[in-house]
Amino acid sequence: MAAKPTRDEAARLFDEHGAALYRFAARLLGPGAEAEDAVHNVLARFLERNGYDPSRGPLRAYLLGAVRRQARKIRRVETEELADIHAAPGTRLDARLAAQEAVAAALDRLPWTQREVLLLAHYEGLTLQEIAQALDLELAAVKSRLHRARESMRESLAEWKGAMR
Amino acid sequence: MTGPEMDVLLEKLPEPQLPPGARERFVSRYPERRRRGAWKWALAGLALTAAAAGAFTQPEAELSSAVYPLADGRMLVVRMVARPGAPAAWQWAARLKGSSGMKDGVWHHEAADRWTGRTFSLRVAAADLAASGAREVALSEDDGLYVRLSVDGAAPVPPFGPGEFVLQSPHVYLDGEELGPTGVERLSGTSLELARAGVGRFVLAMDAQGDRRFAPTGSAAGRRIEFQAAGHTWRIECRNELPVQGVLYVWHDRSYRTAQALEFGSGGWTPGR
Repeated sequence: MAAKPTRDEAARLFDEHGAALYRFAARLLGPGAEAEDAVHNVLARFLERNGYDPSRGPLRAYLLGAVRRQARKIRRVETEELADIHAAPGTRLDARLAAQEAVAAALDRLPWTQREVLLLAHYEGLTLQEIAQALDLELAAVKSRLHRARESMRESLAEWKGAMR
Repeated sequence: MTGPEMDVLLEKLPEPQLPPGARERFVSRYPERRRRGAWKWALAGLALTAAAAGAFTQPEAELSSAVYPLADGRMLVVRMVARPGAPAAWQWAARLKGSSGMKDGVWHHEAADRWTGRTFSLRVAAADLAASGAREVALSEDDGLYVRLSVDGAAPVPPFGPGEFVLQSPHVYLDGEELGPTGVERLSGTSLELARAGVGRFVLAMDAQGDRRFAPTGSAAGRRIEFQAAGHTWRIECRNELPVQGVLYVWHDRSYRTAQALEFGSGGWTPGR
């Protein structure tokens, strides 16, 4: 059995990836203990039984993919069918929402499959290819999900903006 | 609204910041430096039983127990016990699954709930538990979870509930070929888990409790549990007569990922959708 990783190794890994992984986890799960636990879990698994294959893309993308799997388990969206269900009803965003609240609410309304892709593309700066590797998807599926996510966001936010006037 | 206008709006979303102490909480799981000759993680796969609802109504109900052979021939018995009135979080803990080991005379238990992602970490700075001879050598609360670890020289006699597996020296076979040592001398729980790289995880239970993810594709009889899944025949053989017999329900959780050729333990299932 491999030797237990040292504190220095753990610190280096956390310093390199912890913030980005938490950012993604918190946007999927909401900030707090669940997101932190998801990140800790992913990093611990990586340290203790590294299953990363560099030929499958950058390490950051691999770890983000692992965070996504953790988040799905936490929210019990373990199948694509469930992940395609809208997280919240498609009612109009309340015009009283501040911009950041409206964006958060619009994101919440996206199905998981689209939200994951949008977060990775827009906020984590992954390329489409990297997203495909991280999420174990075909490139075409990533493009399609990102397109649908942006369209949905645009519609939601346009409605919200219109209602504000 | 144009794409660039939307991108501007997307930037309004505040960037989540790591909670204070998150780094320290993670880093503190690991030793300062690697020590040669230290106790290795000799014991793996301590599994906590998915607690039967009644378990929480009894005084200090035992949730699970496992017996591990030590290198010197003694047996290490680990029991996880729930105390009435313990915080709700403990009930999650009852579904944890992880690994345990003794290192440098310190008992370590690290586990992560596969469903919630909640990480449970316990380090008990006690004397060498196996050598102490004490029946109860550690009492610890960690993250609000009440945990008592007991060590005894003899196998425990837990209050087995209906449908509870008890396996001694289990061996796992795939299409007739043994998959390697499970590392467990004795195991009990209302469900079993078997996972393998590239296949996912199987959760086995005698009572699926209406969980539609399970299918009756196996059986438990005598000293053998057998089921068909993923195009293969899986078999678990143990030294003792199984206290449960009959139709076995199997849930093949394909979303579960492992890099291990074999993971085997008890617990880890909550009746779901």
